[in-house]
Amino acid sequence: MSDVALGFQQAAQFSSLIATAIGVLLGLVVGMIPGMTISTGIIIVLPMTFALDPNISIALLLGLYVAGMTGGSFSAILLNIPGTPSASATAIDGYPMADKGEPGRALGIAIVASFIGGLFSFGCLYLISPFLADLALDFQAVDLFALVFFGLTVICSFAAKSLVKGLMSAAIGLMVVSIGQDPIMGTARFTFGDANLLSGVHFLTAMIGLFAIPQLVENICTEDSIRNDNNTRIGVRGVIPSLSDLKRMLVPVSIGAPIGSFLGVLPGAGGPIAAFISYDYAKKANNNPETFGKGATEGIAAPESANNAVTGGALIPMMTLGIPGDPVTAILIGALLVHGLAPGPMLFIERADFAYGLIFSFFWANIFNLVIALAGIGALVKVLATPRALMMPTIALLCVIGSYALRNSFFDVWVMLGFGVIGLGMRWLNMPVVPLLLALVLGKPLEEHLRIALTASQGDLTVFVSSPYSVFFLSLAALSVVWSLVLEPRREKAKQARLASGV
Amino acid sequence: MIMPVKNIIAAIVFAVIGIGYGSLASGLPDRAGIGVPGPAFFPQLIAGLIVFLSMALAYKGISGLRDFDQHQNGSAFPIKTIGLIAWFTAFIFSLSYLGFLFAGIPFFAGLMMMCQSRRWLQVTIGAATIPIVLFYLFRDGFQILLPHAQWL
Repeated sequence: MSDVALGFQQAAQFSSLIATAIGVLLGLVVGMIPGMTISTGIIIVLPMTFALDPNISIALLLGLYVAGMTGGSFSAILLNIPGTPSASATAIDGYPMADKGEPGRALGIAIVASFIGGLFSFGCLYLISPFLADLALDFQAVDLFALVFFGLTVICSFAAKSLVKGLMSAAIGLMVVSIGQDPIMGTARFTFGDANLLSGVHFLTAMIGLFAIPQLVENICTEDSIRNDNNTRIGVRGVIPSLSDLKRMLVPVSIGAPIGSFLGVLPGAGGPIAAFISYDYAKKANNNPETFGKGATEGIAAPESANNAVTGGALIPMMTLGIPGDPVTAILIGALLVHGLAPGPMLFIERADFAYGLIFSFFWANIFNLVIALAGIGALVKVLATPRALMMPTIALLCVIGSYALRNSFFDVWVMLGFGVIGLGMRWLNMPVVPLLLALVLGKPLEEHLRIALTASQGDLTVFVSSPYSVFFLSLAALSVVWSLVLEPRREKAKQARLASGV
Repeated sequence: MIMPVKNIIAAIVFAVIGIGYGSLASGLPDRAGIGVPGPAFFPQLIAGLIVFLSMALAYKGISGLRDFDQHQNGSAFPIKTIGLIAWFTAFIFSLSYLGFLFAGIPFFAGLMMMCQSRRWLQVTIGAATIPIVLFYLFRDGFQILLPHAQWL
């Protein structure tokens, strides 16, 4: 049997399908709760996956990832509060449509557009991944270094409003990664004689702290988030989109899905950017752009198809190159590593059945997302009324369980809290955590490939311009930094102008 | 505190961290040959980067102070955040002595009250049931053993 057929069989097993469906259900719930990100949702579920089979674990997490994007639009449409940052653009037209008394119609359009966007990105994932993995097999250490370096710089440029702060965040991550044994010679570095530090800081422990603790603090300590409780008395009817709505969705979805898939591939670009760009293009392509912002079908379909298409796009570099496109794929890499599976080109050689299983699980996640969201929307929106006073302490306990369960170590729980404090400090400084997080994932390969390349060339720096791949990636890295340096003063000027005009 | 001041403080802290990290890195044993990067190579590179970025951040802070709009407000002292972190710390500290269940129940109740839950019945029921459910779910459902009380 071919690897593709084996992968399909794995993803279509009853246990995998059930896991996907549960993941979708959880994702819709997590996504729609304002203040809960998909990353936090995955972190909460993560400890439960340690004991599961890798196929089942990944099916569950993919379900959560895909549905989380869709779930974010529910609160954006019903409450004008985006559940996830990616759903911000959906609120522009989703909420006015719901406000006009058609919440079911708005939700239906969002769900179907999400499905089409997700399915399109599945096609890209299925067709591009094996090809890209094949290409990546030709990469030498110098190319791999350049690729990882590009991944890091582009994240710093995209994720941060300030390039200096983005780079500083990544530098802190690289510093943390250097704790423990060095990847080439095994020399203990910065361990201070503590055996716990020999294997370094566990990436997932750090991530739980970085993401979940600041989120918890924000949810518990912010008065507004507490006041938002129980403000939903929502009746949802007429969710299935009409034929005329489906026709009107055709153009915006054809714009949103490719944009989302493409931007998903770029590390750091992510759902919010894809959603807003698609919204903008859909508006420009429309004959009646004045209807946008007043509940236009196209204004919901374009961003929703784009943000769900990002999911499949982000899985492409994760699976083929081991480079995460966003925080969620970084967590997925961590989850795979826990199960002894290293994403990258070798995954398609050594465990091709698993790689294709993952791709098909993504397909099923999109199918379940459509079915469960359309069928269960009436019951699902009731979650918006769950008391925060019960939800937040439960999440806090799950964070502690997640960090403890990784290695049955109290040390990891302290590390988690330490990173939580670091995350809070970064928030205080308006410094993005995403570059730090991705540096934790990419730091080891970055150092490893750099040292191998320099060792092979006897310290000759011209090795970095000796390969076309390396030149290509390093040029892109330089371009992303220059781009950010050009954009930053403009953004600052625009901000000053806004402040001056009092807008 | 206003952002330019925060930037300057952060720049000083990062510069100290960078210099300390760099000096620790220079003390690492060098087992590599001539022209071959050893274990200290990468950390020294990062230390240099951190110091350079600290200077850039300090410059950003100083130039921000010059252009700063006096009408912008700084953020308030986050007393509730510090309280929450202290509560978390106390919980983790007690975890190894009291175990997940006995440490988890008061922790949960405390967090519920921080969420401004004033319904005592809800707090009592929530704090008593959810940690217990999680403990047995992970122990029996996922075979993940959570910390036990040392004295039991």
